[in-house]
Amino acid sequence: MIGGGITEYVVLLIYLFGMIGIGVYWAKHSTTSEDYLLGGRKIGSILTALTLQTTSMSGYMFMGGPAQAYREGYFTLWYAVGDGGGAIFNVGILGKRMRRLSYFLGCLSPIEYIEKRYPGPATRIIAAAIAICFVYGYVLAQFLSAGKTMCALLGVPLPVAIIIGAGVIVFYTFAGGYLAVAWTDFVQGIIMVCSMVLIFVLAWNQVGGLTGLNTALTEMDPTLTGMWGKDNMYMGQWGVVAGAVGVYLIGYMGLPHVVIRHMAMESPKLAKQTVVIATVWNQLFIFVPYIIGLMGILMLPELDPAKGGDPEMVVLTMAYQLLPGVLAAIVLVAIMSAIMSTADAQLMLMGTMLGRDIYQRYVNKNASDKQLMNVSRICILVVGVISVIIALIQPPGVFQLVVFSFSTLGSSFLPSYVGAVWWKRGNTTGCVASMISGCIISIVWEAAGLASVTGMHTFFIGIIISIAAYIIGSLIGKPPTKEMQDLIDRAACKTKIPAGFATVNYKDIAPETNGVLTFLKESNYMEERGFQPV
Amino acid sequence: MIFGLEPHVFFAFLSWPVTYIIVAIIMYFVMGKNDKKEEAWEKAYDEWQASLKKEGGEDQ
Amino acid sequence: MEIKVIKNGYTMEDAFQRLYKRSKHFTIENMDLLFYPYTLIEFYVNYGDKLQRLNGKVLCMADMWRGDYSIASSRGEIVTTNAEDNTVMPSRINVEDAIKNAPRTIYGEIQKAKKVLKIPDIDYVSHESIYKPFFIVECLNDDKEVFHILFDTVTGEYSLLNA
Repeated sequence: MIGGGITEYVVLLIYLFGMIGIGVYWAKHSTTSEDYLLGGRKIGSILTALTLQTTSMSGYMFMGGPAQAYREGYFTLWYAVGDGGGAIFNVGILGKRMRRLSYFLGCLSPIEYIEKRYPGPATRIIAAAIAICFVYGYVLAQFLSAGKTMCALLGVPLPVAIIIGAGVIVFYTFAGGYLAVAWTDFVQGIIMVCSMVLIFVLAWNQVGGLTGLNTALTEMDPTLTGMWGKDNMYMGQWGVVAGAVGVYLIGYMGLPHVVIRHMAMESPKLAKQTVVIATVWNQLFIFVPYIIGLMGILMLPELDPAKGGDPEMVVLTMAYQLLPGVLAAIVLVAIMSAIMSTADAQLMLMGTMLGRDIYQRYVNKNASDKQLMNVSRICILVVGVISVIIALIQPPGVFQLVVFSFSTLGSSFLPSYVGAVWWKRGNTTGCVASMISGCIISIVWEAAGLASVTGMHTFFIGIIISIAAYIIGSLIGKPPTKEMQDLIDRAACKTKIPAGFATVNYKDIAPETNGVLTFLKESNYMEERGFQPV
Repeated sequence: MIFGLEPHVFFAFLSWPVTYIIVAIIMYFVMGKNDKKEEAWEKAYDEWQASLKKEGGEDQ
Repeated sequence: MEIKVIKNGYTMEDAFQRLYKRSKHFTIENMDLLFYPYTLIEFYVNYGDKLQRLNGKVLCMADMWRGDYSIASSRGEIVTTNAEDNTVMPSRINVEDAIKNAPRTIYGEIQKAKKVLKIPDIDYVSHESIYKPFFIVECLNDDKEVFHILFDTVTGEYSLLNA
């Protein structure tokens, strides 16, 4: 236990009540289901960027990431290299087109989007089943880590910590819907990045800047500042490097709770600001924690696991050494923010999917807007309560749960989300094939422990198989309807527009038109009168 | 040595934040340029759709 | 050559305006006249003495390029004009054939309009060769691709030629 003083409790309480306040505020301002589920598609660029990135980054960046850098040296930054460019790929590839196509198709949930883009009963059932199971895994993992963090930092008993942490998340998501999630993410994002940068700047001075840090690390152990990790443990393992970079560079495009952010953007034009804001935020929030971990090697040698220390506490210990009490307590809050901003998004998505994709489709097809909103709310509450109960009775391992859910969701959905807007030939057969193969391969790979045997990350193999299945399935299956292909063209602003009236012809002169056309082709009229040939 | 690191290590790890920010800024301008094209396209598309509904013409 | 034409309701300037009103995403590069051949044939439809009130003149417009026939509501205003030879489309149907074929084609039309079972006699009265002026309009779209429009100078209707 690091904190646990009165200051920490006061700051944490202020924060938790602040989040509840945002939930209550937006509860009053969400009047339609589109407001509640997608923020009325009126989310601006700063909000989109921060909600996109805070959702992607969980508490790992405050604890796991720096700890890994502390143990392995510079090699760990390969993960940051992938993560740092994630927003460029995610927004650049999906952003605008997905926003447009989802709007044309009238979708409120990322599963409904898959179902409408790839119509067919199989798509709907498989997509909803995979998403609900594995997003649920994510929710559970985040609740657990919120509880564990509070327990570790404040000494609150785990069950109490889980109930408080999860309770607040469930409450503001239940009450305020998407806007509450987006705005709490925004506040959480600011807290996260400010506290991280503050610690970084103060530690920077202590170690004598980047040059001082690197020189001292090299003197201590040259392999720490080398390419292949401490004691060259990953020497020549380019496969691991490619996996670490590739997985995080593209993986987020397959996560339903992340891509829903594109659908909620106010206008496709905001994508360009979103790329810049999210990328700058990423560089601050992703590279910095790893470098803080490296600084920890010099500043906090007592955290070395060999000496019985816990490197996961690097950021917090540093905060307590470098910052006055209240600010250090805010860092605690920042960790909770990181966890909560990921959990709320997934919880929100669960509510959206259960309300829109299950209730409205199978239970009550004529559900009114108000009914849909209320059902989504009730689902959020039910899922929240069940998760808390499971977390209390038989908590699974957080890390395994997150990695498993990430790999399965990413492998199952990435080809379908990307192909939806970039490949007109992409069809239902391809989508179903890729979802089934991506999901099964991920489960089998994980269950059989093949990742450690083959040295290939589950996501890596899952995505390769899933992409191949998508392409083969799409080439075999029936192409999408002309209407769908037209919509995809329209989402890409590629529809060929005739010169205004060109496709609008008057029926009355159709016979003459044909007559004139044959005459013009048979005669020299066009040439003699200075026209281009017809 | 660059900031106390071998040049290849520096470029492998620490050149990325600046590179990504530069790429994002370039993307901002490229996407901005595309936005203008798309805006003109959207206007033309709307005009086209509106024209289909007036003057008694019909789609071929 | 001197020909009889249906008087135009739209000048070139009118055509410019009408087309530009429809869309701004093209430019008109060239416009010229083309005269389309018709023969206006007058028949006398005779139902006999008992249905005398239905007897009367019917005007038939024969498309002399394609061999189509239609009923014309009136002769309209016909004027004589001088046209350059290569702007006048030749007839591919000869007048005798048109006079012979027209009654067959227009018979159904008359029956539909009059709703009478008795088959009338359709007697030829007279004919005159006339032309309808069209504009051939050459345009460029925003992508600088060429396309052509046929513009009816009498009704102001238009149609894409190379669709």
